[in-house]
Amino acid sequence: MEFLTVKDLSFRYPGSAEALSGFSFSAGRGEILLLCGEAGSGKSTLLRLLKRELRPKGTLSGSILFDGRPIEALSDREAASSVGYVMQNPEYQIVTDKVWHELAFGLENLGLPLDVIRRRVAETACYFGLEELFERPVSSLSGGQKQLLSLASVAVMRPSLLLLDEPTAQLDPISAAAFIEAVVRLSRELSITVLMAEHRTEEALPHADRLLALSAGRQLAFGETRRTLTEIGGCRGLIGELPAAVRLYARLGGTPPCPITPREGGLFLRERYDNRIRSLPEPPPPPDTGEALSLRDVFFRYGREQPDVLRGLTLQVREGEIFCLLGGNGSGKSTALSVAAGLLRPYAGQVRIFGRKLFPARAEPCRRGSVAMLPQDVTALFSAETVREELKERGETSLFFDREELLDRHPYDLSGGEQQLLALAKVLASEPRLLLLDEPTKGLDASARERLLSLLRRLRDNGVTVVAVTHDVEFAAEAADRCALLFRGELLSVGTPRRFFSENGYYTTAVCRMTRGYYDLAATVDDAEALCRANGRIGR
Amino acid sequence: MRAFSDCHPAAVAVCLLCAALPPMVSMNPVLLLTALTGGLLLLLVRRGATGAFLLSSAGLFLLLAMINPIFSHKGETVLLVINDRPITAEAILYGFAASASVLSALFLFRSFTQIMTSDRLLCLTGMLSPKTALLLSSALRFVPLFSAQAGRVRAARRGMGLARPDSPAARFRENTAVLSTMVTWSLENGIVTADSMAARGYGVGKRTQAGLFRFRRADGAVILLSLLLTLPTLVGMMSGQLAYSYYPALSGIPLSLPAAAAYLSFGLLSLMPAALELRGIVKWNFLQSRI
Repeated sequence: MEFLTVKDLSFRYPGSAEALSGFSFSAGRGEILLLCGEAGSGKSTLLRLLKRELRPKGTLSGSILFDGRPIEALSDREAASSVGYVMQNPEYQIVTDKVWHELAFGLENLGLPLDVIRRRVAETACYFGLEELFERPVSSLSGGQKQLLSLASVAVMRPSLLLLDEPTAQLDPISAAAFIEAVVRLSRELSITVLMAEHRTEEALPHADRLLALSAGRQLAFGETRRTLTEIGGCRGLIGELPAAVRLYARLGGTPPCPITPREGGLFLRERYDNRIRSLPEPPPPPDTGEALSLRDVFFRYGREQPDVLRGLTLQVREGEIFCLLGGNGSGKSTALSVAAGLLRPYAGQVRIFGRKLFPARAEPCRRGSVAMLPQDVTALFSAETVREELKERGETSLFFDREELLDRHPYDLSGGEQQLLALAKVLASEPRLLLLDEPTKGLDASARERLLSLLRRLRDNGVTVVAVTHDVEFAAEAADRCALLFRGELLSVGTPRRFFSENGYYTTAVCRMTRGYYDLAATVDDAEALCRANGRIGR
Repeated sequence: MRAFSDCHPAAVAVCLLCAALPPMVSMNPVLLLTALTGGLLLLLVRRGATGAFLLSSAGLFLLLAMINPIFSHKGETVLLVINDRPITAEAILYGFAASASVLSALFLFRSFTQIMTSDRLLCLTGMLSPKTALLLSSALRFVPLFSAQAGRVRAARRGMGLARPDSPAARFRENTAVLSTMVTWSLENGIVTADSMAARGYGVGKRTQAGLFRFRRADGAVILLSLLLTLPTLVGMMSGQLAYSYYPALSGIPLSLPAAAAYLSFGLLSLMPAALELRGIVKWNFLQSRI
């Protein structure tokens, strides 16, 4: 008996073509169903159709059975409490100002007696480990804690179905893993059925019981995870969203079963491919160019009484390279970037941009168009009604924005990737020679990442130096000429991505984990594929 | 019995309101002096006043008292004449009474705002109207969020290569752009918040309001006592037994039996918050010495 059954579901927004057509899938009680598809493939619309309160206006055909009953037959109170919905953005889905009050919010809406509210809030806080934060204001929480609070404040209503719309897109990898773990625990321990849409599936896919693949509003495949993976292996748009092991498997054209975790990927390599050649030839070191950015013994803190965020940071970025600065939460990455952009003034140390001092004594930081920074939240740059006006604000229409069809849209109606493209176009209008990026891959789907990657390479080939601060090790491995690890405001190691990631044991890419001890210096799926092909199959 | 500031917000509010009301209405010097002492003691016991605050209140006290005789020339006892205008002892005393009235209210409200953290205020509004309480709570969340985002927008614009505005016109243009960004931002993210509220059943029925504070017997006792102790003062003020006039000459301080009862009960009421607070502190020190 399935808990949620969707049959022949189609949906059309008023006055437009079909947004979704022909969806039929089901999920058992306590199962995790992962929705996988590019931005704009209809994942959010599908999830919203299953949540009555958030259902978009339009015509719906087909049936949705919730525990054997049509979902329309649920009472308002039942619909609100038994179907939980968590959205992407940790900041804005929180309604109240204190952690305890946010937990109580849903129960208050149901008009439950105070004693019941107190008990449920208390037990939920215990289950999610929120006791320490109980009386804290929400604004003092980290992004990961906020998202966990959003999950808890839905779970407090005792739902039997959880709908999660890219819940980890805005989180760093550690918080994302903790969030997925909490979701898995809810499904395994409390038999809550989970439907989760995700772009990055490295963490979530190993836990998924079933997989639903979407593309352009259509259902591509549905079924048990491994079987479905082999079905969609050839689909280009989707493959980028899948874990490294699956991508490698698809590239090499293996025979089932398909590996999912790094461990399985490692076994897959060892069983099928030789390792006579252990590493790829290293590209020659780039010619020695000048320094684009140099920080020497830079110290910074946000207030006199506060601890140092940057503790003697020393770092050199060469002209014309893509440099990725990695590190955990609170390591000072974003602060370092703001210092380089001239937005924050260090209290000791020297910052030079193309050899010139950035902070001359007792004067405004001099930048004069040589540096530009793309903020983490790109919507902070949007102030106009249309994309066209947005671009006009910075002079002529930018060369870097080539999407004519988007010019008359509102900036907020663009997808995450398109918004970022627009913001980059605005930032690039001042023709900076040094471009600073703060978490450029946050919330992007695979094809948007791919586009960003090629744009950055194009910029580099035109002589622009790029410094990106990121949590995203896979992106850094693919994009960077050099990577560096920042820890507690200090730079610990610098190197080419291959060396950098194969020397790291924990803070590293999935491919490095797979190939450890078998191949050397393989950081990306491309590296691993090249090595496998060079070595050939065992026994052939 | 806990300290005064640990009582239920309703008890704190009723007690402080009862203590603050008479000195705002009556100009009886005994009531005013009592209220001023009570307010000051509560502040001192709670360590709620810095030296600077006390000093500036003393300054304010004198300033307010001095202003009255400059403008008011009523009264019989002329002390000196400036520019043909008499400065009278009655006007000076009236000035002091008015300052006492203002300062006692100031002291009590300072303690009130220090005790009433946002959680307590929310509990109090929730008792009156759950809807207003939610509004207050989301406002308390939204305001810091808004100002933080505005800061980020300014930084992002400067990071984009726009120079810091240096002329008033440039500053105006810059602020307009920031405001426009913030308006769109608020509207867009307001939709997310509204969705999140609807998803959790906002509007399906009558709301309850949860709070961290339990109403205990002692809280009821504080409220009851506060109301009872206000009664004689209230009766005295209504019946005119506590009336006191400064002009043209000072009337004698009323000392009838009802007036004396009012002085006594109001004295107890004014001292109650400070006494309860002190009791809590003393008890805690005592307990700690035995742990």
